[in-house]
Amino acid sequence: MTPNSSWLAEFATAEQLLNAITRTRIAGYRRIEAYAPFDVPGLAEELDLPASRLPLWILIFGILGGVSAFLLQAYLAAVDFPLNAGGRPYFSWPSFTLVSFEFTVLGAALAGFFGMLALKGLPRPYHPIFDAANCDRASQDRFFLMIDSDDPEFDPDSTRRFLESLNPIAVTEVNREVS
Amino acid sequence: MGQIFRPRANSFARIALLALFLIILLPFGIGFALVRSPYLTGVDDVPRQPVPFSHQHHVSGLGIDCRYCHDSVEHAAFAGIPPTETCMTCHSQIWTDAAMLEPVRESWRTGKPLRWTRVYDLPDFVYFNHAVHVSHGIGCTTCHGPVGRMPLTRQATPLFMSWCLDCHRAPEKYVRPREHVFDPDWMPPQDQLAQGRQLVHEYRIRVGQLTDCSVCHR
Repeated sequence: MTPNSSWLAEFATAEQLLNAITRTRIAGYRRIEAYAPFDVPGLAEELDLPASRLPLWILIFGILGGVSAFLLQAYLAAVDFPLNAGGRPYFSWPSFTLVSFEFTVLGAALAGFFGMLALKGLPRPYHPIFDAANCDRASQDRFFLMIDSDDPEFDPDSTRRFLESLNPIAVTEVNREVS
Repeated sequence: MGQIFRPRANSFARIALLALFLIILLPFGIGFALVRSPYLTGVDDVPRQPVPFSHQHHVSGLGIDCRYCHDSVEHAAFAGIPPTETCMTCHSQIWTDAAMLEPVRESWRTGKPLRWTRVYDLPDFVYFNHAVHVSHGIGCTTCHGPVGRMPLTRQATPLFMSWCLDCHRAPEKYVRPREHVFDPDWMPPQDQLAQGRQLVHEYRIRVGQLTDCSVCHR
């Protein structure tokens, strides 16, 4: 084992993974990560992940998109080039609401997509975890639990023994290499 | 299976994402810059003419009034390019053997008009009326530049619609006294805005209607 390696435990079912996470947290580990092929219900609660900031970003950029679309239309129709089109008032705000709505949706959707990438640090085609044995099955049929060597409770030998006590299929090491 | 990508792929992926934004924005930037460039507007372009006619010589040198040649400018929509006869009022007597003027004499002999190249060419869906501008105190040089100092005629203004509207929204920025309309050396006074507002009122320029579609695109 190279220094600074983390331990990765492989499980066959989602229930085993959830169970393992519960016991790992009871054992005092906090720097843990889980890898699963699908969104396991209850996984976020078990890991006690902090609430995502993404909804806030979506809200801010949705409002920003809607407000800027409304202001743009109001500026064009009432300030920049007021035209008598059909006898409507220049600032005919009811007709601005459609485009404002669509730009709210557009701003929120773009913020959701690119905000998700930014908050998760994606795209990230290279990651040390991909070097671990069998790790490619994390996107197919296996469930993984990693205890990071950064964890204050981490000890190479006792942590490995602890993971093996959870009845995994295998425990492998992940090199946190400095690339 | 192990790593498919090398560590540096992370940087590549992020740079590629950033480059995607720039690549999307780039055509817009190039397009906006291109349509405003003299290359497409024709500003400062000096087209080839059958005779290298010099406004500098005839206007500044000889002091000929604009209306001597462009005689319909006060009364018609089209200011007119003078016919060969106008040239021959003088050039049947002076410079009669100048090689430069041979196309004029040939036009006179054969009756075929000279084929001048238009410098200011608006699209045909724009109706421009010279007379109404001249009679409301818009001088020649405001739109055509310092013609009296042009050895060869060049386009001084881009003829963008936004350029037209700039004055139609605020004519006080450019309007001048009627008696100076044909003065090729007129310069706006220090108090152009105050004087312009006075003239707009005096000439009854109805600013509120000047940006209606039917003013030009009739």
